[in-house]
Amino acid sequence: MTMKNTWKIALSLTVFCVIAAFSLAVVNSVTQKEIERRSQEDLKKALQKVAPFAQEFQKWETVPPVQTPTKDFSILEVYEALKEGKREGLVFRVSTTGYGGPIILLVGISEEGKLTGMEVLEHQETPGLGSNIESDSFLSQFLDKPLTDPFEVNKDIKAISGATISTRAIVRACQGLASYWEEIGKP
Amino acid sequence: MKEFWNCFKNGIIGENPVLRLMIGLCSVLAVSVRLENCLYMGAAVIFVLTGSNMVISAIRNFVPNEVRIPIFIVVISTFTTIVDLVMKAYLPALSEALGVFIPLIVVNCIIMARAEAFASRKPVLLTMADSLGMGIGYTMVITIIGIIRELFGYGQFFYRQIFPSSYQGMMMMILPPGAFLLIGLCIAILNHFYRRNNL
Repeated sequence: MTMKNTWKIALSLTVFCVIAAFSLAVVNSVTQKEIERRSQEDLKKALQKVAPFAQEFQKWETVPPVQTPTKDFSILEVYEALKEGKREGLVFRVSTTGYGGPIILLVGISEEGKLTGMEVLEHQETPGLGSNIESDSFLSQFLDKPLTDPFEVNKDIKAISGATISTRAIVRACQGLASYWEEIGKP
Repeated sequence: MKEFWNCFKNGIIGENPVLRLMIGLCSVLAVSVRLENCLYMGAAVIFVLTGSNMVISAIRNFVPNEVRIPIFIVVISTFTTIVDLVMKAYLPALSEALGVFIPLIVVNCIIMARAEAFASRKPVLLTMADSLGMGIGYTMVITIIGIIRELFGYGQFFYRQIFPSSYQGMMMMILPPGAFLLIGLCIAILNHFYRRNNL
């Protein structure tokens, strides 16, 4: 390979990558706002769904940190669910590790420590198997359960066939929230 | 025109990507549990395959042979990401349905294989025919497997109950082994047909 040839190769690879990066940047800057707006809208809808008793939601800024953080579960954001200005519950946006990467969940919990709803916001689970975590028949198992529930797969939570890891991820999120709830002394 | 048609047909019958070339099997196994998934995955593959390979065909004379593969990968992933972003912003319903398949498409070797074997050597229009043929061939096979798996795995067709509700789903069909066996059977049937007709 001659020196000239090497330069030609390097140059063409650079040019193609620059073009690709540039077009990605353009598309990203055009679509970003719209995507952001939509995700805000979706979040609002999901919040309403997991805490149907509330009228409005307010981000809780002074969230006490998790004392024993683990790799597979983290609390991203907490919202206060308000009814007539009074706090009736909390909504947690949590991340838990599934089969295909992080699963982002929204979990509503009432003041007395009961699960009022759960929604899957984002996931990369296998279509047809793990993606069933989004289905109502799976999520409804968690409805109205108190946080003191043991949350054990195949005891009180029926696993999705062929997707045990995804099921465990959701269960882990519930257990994590339960211990956090205990930790901060039932806020 | 004849050449165009031959290229198109090739992907469906002669060199069907799943049954004859044996590529893209990973996504066939993973996705074909439900008919609905198969149709979405097929649509996404057809779109990305045709789009990115036409781009590759258009730039083929500027690509040095030594670095063609990295450049193809850049083109394919850029194209897929653009499709993903545009869908997310303007077609949220479609994005919701196709979202999980997008990462599967980037790693789908049908696209890479056709870029290498066809698009990098042939003009844009022929590439379009080849990509459409390959995409449709892929979709046909995955759809057939999806129908059978959904029917025996869940007793349903497109979420509608076909078998009596006392039917206990066949676990094996839902899990990957069912797909492996079905693909094997499809290949066997096709081979039998080919041998009998001395093709």
